[in-house]
Amino acid sequence: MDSPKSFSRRDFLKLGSVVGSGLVIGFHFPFGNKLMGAEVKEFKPNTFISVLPDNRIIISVAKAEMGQGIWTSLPMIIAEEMEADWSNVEIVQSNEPDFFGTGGSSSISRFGWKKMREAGAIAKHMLVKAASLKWEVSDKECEVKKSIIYHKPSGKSISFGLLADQASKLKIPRKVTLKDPNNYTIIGYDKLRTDSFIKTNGTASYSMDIDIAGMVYAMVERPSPFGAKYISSNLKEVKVKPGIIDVFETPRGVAIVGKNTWSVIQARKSLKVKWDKKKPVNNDSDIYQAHMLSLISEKAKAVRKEGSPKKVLKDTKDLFEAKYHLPFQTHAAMEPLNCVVDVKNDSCEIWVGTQNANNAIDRAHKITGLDKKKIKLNLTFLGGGFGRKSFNDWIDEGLYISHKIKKPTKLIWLREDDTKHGFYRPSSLHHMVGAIHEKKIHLWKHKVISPDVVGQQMVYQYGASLPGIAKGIMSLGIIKGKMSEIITEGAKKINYDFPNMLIEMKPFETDVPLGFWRAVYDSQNAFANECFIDELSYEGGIDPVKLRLKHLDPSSRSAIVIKKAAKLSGWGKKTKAGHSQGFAYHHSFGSHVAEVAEISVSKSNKVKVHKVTCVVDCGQTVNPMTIRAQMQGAIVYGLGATLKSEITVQNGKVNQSNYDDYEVLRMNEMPQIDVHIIINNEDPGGVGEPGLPPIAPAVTNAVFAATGKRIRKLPISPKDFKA
Amino acid sequence: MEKIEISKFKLNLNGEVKRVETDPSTPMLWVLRDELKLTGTKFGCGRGLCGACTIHLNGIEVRSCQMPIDSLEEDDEITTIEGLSKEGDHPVQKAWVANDVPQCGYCQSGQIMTASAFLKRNNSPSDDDINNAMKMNICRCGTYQRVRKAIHSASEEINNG
Repeated sequence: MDSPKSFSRRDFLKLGSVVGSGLVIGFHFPFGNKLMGAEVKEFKPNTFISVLPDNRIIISVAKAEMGQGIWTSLPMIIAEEMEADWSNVEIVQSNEPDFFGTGGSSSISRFGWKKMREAGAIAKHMLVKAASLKWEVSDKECEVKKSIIYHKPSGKSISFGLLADQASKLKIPRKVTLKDPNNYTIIGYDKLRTDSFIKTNGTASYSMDIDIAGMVYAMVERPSPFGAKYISSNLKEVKVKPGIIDVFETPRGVAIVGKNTWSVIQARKSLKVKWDKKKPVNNDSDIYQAHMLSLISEKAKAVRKEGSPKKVLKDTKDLFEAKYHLPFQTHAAMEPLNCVVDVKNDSCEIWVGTQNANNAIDRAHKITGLDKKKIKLNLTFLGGGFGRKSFNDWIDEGLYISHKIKKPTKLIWLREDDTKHGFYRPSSLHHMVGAIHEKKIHLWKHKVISPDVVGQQMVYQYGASLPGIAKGIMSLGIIKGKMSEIITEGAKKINYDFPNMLIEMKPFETDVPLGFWRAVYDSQNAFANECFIDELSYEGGIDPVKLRLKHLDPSSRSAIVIKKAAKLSGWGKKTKAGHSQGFAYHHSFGSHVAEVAEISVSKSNKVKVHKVTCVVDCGQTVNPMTIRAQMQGAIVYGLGATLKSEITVQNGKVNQSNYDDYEVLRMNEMPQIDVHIIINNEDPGGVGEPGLPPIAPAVTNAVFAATGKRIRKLPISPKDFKA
Repeated sequence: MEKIEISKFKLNLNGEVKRVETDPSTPMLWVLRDELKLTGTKFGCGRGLCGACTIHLNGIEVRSCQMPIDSLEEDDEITTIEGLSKEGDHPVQKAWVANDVPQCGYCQSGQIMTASAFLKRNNSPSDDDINNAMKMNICRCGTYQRVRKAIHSASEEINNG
């Protein structure tokens, strides 16, 4: 057993001790990702455990469920330490106004793990204490199993529910003892999701489904090209269209309000807006690509240096060089952006599925001028998020409209709006230079050329409304310079140990709004890393898996994952006729993932992925079912981007519009995915994102094995196979 | 204001008769969602590309975003996810829960409506049959492998039950 852990008492709070209401413990579950604007200033509980007299245990979490399974895995952790009967645990959405953001694969890994365990242990401690007082025995003689407390010497037993009221009169303990992971009975075992039933009968509620009395429907025609200013429009003409209530300009575009969705869709077709954009910056894919190529020869900032890379570069004759290009991507979550906002003279209520709820309240405060205490946010399920729903730009639109017309408003984005007004995964260029001597990599140089999501999103998020001081700091480049290092995520901390190494970055500006896409920069840098190491292995005449292992400590988590994936996929053995394999590994968000793609290439150069073997080490597992689902999901998401999807921009406008020209993976393209989870007691890592980075290089490396063609640009196109 | 053309419609919906007054060009998706408040049918793309809005028209899966209300015949029967079963216990729904299919869940009404109509035509499908039947239903969480498995297990229950 772990030794008792002490914690600051103010972290946990006992709430109410009304007879019949049971034991309620509240605690603050922090989310410290400053990029998402969260910084905890005062303690306010946002997560609650309620033990009710009828034995039910209700856990309410102020965190968004967007498919990642947090409604199941967080309560599992609490229930484990409580020794609760899992079948009596229920979960509900908490809407306490101190939400935590959802992103960065952090729900469990960064913040949930320890806090949830402590909270569960506190609840158990108080219930056991109540039993020992009731029986007048030592609490050390009591044991708990499935929500029942036993006192062996006297043979007595009692359920949690019957003690809940008494326990609620006790003080929160200063210290608790956490369980030895070897004794877990819930954590690490498959548990079915708690939200499946309502997601199979149409009753699960997304913000798109919210309906309130007197609600009107609205859409916004947004600036196009990006960053353009409104000049004029035919507002009056559109205003008289059937079913239209109002049409007006807002700081984010022209709003059309109508009595139902269909009338707004119809009327919008006749809206004509004149926009003006002066001095466009890299807002065209062709110009953007040419600009990136021109930056290869420019001086870049070094973020990591090992050995003497510059000397080796100068002295080595057989340098090997490659350039990898990645396109813009959009999130394309199934639920288009939307929200319901009801601004009244003295209050504001919002219904929305967002990854960043606290920030939405800040926006409401800014736009309505109302005190934050008068603003209520109801967090709904998210129909997918993938990073897009952390930006909250669309909530501003709902706020502006409802604030102006003083009516409850449902703001809806069409799929075309969603595709054309995203916060895109940046297109990037990776210039790699390496040398392999005696079957070992002697030199590794990676220059990351990409705009920086953080600086960009600050401009687009706050734009003209950025406070003066912040604008000043931005223009000095202090914040931007620091934050730009994000573009080397997955490049700088590459796990391989190379004797001479130089990682550089060259950020640049663009008008294209950029954001966090699933796995963020790890999605790009892993592609460059893992393709290049594969290329070097062929240059050096060594098996790509063997080459990776030569640069890793054999007992490291990375080496273990790589060896396991090679073994399970039958790496190096004969494959099915016409099939070829490719290998890739990447470490991100605290987890290690290796993937082997088994593919074939048709005569018309179409790539078909038949099977993916995925091995993940994410440390202590909570719900293996969730981990397998998230690995599969990340691979499917990544395969779409490897084989099909791409956003291109022309004169500041996105060319794609819907799922016909931004194509994603479909059922008939779904490979068999086998996920193997490494079991250990390391701290839990993330699982939402780490499955994505290895899939693209695993596929393109397999394409090389099959055809001898190197794919250095995504998505794979039949054109790439021409000599 | 320009005059809005409003017509009266009588629908056979989930075994009940429903009356709606609306613009005849309104797609069933918006009739269901905005007028009848049946929000289990989801809006995903508006162009019949993603399948999130799938409902049954006389037992056959159709995209409700592509079906104006005035294209319906008087005796047409419409079923939405809310009417697929009374207790949410259609073999496909049960298989979805047992196989832990949903993640974000937004596409799953559509997936279930396509799968349930398809299984009526083919009660012991191969993987290829499933791929063909389900390829017009997009899932961005990537639940396809479990969808496939759940369809197989639902077909077993239909055949044995």
